[in-house]
Amino acid sequence: MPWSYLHDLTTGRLLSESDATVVPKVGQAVHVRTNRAAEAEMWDEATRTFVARPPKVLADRLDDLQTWPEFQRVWAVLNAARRTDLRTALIRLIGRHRFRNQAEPAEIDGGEK
Amino acid sequence: MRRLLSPASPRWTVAGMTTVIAGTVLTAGTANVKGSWAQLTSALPFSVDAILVRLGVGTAADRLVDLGVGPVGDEQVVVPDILFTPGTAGATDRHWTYWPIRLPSGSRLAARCQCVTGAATMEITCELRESLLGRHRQSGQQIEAWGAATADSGGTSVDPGATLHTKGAWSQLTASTGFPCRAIQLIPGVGSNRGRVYARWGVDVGIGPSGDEQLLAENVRILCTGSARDEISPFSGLGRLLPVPVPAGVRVAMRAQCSVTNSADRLFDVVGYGIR
Repeated sequence: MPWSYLHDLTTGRLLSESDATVVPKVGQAVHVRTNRAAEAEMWDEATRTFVARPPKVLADRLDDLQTWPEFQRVWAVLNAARRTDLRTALIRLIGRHRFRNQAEPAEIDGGEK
Repeated sequence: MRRLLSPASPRWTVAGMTTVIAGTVLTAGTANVKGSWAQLTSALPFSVDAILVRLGVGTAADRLVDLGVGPVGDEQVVVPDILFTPGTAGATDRHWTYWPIRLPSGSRLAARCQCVTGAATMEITCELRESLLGRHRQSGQQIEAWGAATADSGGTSVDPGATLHTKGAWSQLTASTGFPCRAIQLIPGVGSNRGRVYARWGVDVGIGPSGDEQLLAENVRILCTGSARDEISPFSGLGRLLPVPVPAGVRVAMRAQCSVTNSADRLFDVVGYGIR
């Protein structure tokens, strides 16, 4: 099913979408595509078309730990086998809190509002 | 002598609660397929005017939930595709939605769900009320869902765009409403994007053809608290229900502005519901 995307001719700003035929007003234009834009796509005002949305990159709290001096001092005295054990235990402990948004602090619930 | 008459207190009860104060478990079918119906009560004890639905205890995966009435094997959906998207920490018990719908006494009440993850479970309880909350004068007879995406157990994606605190493009929820509605309900969701930052949205609801949307509701506030509890919720549990009438046969759309601009976290999912 074709979808129509109404945008401003001057700025390229996306205004609206519809699965019905759209008649643009003066100063507007319509971009038609064969299917609805997926969430993985986003409107680009410069090219007046859809481009791939940048993938979201999360930070690993295990990497955050490696930057803390107190953890570094402990890590430095461990052999490879004990490091593996510690890493495995930490992954179990922090569970789904392991990955965080880049804008959030490393401390779990540290930036909660 | 003036006689004071006390009206009988409206009745209230909970359906689906177990003896250990847990909800009734719903199990999804295969990925994005509705599972079997689970009974919440074999017979409604009175004529119900409104239901307060609590959803909880589920993994961090998007779900759609149906409420239905009727005998086993002949359940009729009365509230379709309630969007339920727990955040990174899994489900809390804070997903409450209020449905002013009339159900006859003696009806069997059941629920089922689908999930983006096959066979995922969750819990549900329903508070059944013989009266309405707030200023709603009449309970509804029929509910339809707008914008439920059954292919991924989510809703319609709304993108506020890259300009901070500026309304983005209208996203179509439905090309044509099925009947005239006296109220609408909005349920936002995370859209399978977890690990979110704190964000606020102001959401507009409009009707009409693309390019000529007329505002029905403006700046309905929704919020993501970020951190581990990064589900998206409206400002208050009852704030999702908007007493705005919508005619039959019209296109319904939504747009939003957001307090963040990063291309992943500004997005949210939404399902709208028309209540007749």
